[in-house]
Amino acid sequence: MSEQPGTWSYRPGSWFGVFGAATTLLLPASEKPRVGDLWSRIDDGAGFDDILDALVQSGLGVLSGFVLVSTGEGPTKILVRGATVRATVTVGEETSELDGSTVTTWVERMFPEVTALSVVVDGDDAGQTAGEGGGTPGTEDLPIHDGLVRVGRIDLPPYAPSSAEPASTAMPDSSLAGGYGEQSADAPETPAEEPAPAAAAPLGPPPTSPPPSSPPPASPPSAWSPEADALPEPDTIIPEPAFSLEKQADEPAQESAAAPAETPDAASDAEAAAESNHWDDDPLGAMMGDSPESSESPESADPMDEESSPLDDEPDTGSMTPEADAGSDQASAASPFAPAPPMPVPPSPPSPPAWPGGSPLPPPPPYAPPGAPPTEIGGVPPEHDEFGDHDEPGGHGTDNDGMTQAGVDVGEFARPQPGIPGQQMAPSVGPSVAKLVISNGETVDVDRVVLIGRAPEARRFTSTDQPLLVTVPSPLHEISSTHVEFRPGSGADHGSAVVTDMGSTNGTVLVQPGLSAEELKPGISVQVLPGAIVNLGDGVTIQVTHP
Amino acid sequence: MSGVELHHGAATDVGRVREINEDSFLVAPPIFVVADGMGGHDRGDVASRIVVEEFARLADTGYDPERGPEVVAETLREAQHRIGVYDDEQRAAGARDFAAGTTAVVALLIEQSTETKWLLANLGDSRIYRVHNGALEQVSVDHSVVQELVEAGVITPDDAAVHPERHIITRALGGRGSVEADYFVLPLSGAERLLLCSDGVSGMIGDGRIAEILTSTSDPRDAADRVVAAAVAAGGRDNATAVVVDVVGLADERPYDSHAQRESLEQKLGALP
Repeated sequence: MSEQPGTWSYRPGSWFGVFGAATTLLLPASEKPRVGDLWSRIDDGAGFDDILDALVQSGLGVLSGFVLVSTGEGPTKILVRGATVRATVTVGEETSELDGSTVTTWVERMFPEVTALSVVVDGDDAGQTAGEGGGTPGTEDLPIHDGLVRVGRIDLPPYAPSSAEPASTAMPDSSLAGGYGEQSADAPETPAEEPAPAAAAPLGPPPTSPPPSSPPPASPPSAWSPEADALPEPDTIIPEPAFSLEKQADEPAQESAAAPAETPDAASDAEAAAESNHWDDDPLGAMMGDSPESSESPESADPMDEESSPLDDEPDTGSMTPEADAGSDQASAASPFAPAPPMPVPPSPPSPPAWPGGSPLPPPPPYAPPGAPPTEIGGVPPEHDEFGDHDEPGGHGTDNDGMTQAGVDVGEFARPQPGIPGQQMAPSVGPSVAKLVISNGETVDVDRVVLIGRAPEARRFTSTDQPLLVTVPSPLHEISSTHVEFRPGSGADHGSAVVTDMGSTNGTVLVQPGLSAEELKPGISVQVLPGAIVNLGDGVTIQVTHP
Repeated sequence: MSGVELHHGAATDVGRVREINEDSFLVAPPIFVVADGMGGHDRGDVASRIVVEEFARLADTGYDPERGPEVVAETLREAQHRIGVYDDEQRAAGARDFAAGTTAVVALLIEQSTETKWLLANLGDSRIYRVHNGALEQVSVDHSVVQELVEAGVITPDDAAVHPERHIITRALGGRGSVEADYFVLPLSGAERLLLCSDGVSGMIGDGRIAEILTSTSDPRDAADRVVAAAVAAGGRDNATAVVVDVVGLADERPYDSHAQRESLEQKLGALP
């Protein structure tokens, strides 16, 4: 309906929600160590089957629950597992319930044309299904297109509570069927959405919103359209130029189609915008959060603008003023909530997106980013002018020779770190995935990175992920100083060990059970099965066994 | 660990340009530190001295050699805290936006699975080099803008040496940046000689010149002196500091047994049946 296809709404909770173009996945809080990796796969466009494979790879027993929804082209597939998990699917007038508590494995259903879909994963919200009654006070539904958030419940299309009737039935079927994927979003059904504004109008004011929102959003769609059309593109891309630009190019048609019925969601949009700001504060947040934000840009831009440059564009659209006020009021009313998004990111200096690959660089700002008093570390000392013989092409007017500067401390030069922004890294020492029995009698657990060699060295690690160095005898010096690495596998290799030849002089031979011997290629990781034997030369072999 | 004999030398020079030497170093076997204070008017010398003091205290009180990285991380955090306190004092005294900062490179002996090893830690653009099999190799990886550019493939290492932003570092003690150091573990046999130096050395003379001096000078004290002298001779635009540490060898933990020694000599000469 009002939102662009593929936009969900979610209600914060304890579970993890991973939203992607083709797949949406919910995982319980206990799956935190895996969720980052799964997000990255989903973000890369991994399909339903890929994700399911990865999910069950380490066994169903350890996975207390999950919800997997294919939202790409074709019929919608839904998998539900877990005692507290319930999904409600509306197809036309018909509503089906999928209850994860009734089965021991999972419930799988396929629907050709889904009108509305709602999944509740936290038991506390179980009484509500899409469209029934209002949300609990203080609980806001936030729109999301893709990304990783903490959720308690998710709705497609975005949750729009209505006292009259379920939002879902008010919607044309076509708005959802096949409307999930971004690809399909561009073309054919966009016209089909045109009726949406009229249909959506009866939705009425959102009961979830605080009092100031009560002015009814029943303004005629026509009053909105000009505003939406008149919305200059640059406005919408202010928050994140680099990412929004491309998105924007895809979706000009969406913008006008999407704007009319945005009213019920104005509050949550404003909030989303506020939240996006929080994401922006963190370089990683900016990376992870870019997609949701940019995809929301048509909606989120309005409240943003009003917040940043108060009431600037209201005069053009007189009839929308009440809503706009409501929107910003709601935004401020909701602001107590904003600091506690699913993954709170501690406020830190705003920073541009991560390092832009091989593109030419703008000269980096020498000191701290705006928003905080500039760090004076490495400020230019007075005496420095006397030695101006090393003028800087960069034009900062500082002669850096003899002057080490603490520059951009966490800014654009921050390396992208693995893991989920704002959350502590999972401990790098995990459960052992394999035991190595070395031919000299030593046994080593692969619960962290293990480096084996004649005189192994560990490079560039942090104080919490110190690799284990294992020295093996090599009287003939056939074994290199740091010969081979074992580490717990991630992603597809999760739950088993992977071995990597570290560029050894004489190579490493791997014999997997039942397979012929293979020479490891330097730097290429290979999953090792229990029973595998790794030969380093000089009579040193390593047998891989169950932990 | 007690069995490792370390020979060391250190030298520092204010250079030809600066008025204050903001570098500090520590030679307190088995801990060696070089810290390069930043920022002139913001008293980088105090910041670098704080780092050295914290590690000197660690050397005095001793540390658990099995917990090397944690010990260093704790010490760096303590130094960071003290620099923050110093900043606050200065700001309270009227110096607005006062923020001292410093780099740190640390080398200390640790134990891992009963073996003694070098633990190296790096924060900023001071450097640790090693001499191994007669060749010089930079072990630490600078936390600097140009290093990031090199790793991103934007510029070559040669460009980095003359890049206008080459003195802007991305991590340091002091300020609000990350104080998480990078750590490296080397077996003792992997480094006959270590050089810890500030960028007043590595920025003034190339790795080739450093290698030449370190491989041709056997006494570590002479080596440190000559490295610093070469940096000053090359222009001395920054404070130059070098600490050179040699692992002389793993001393035999068994007491010297002259009787056994003599017997074995006699055996060798065939004097005994």
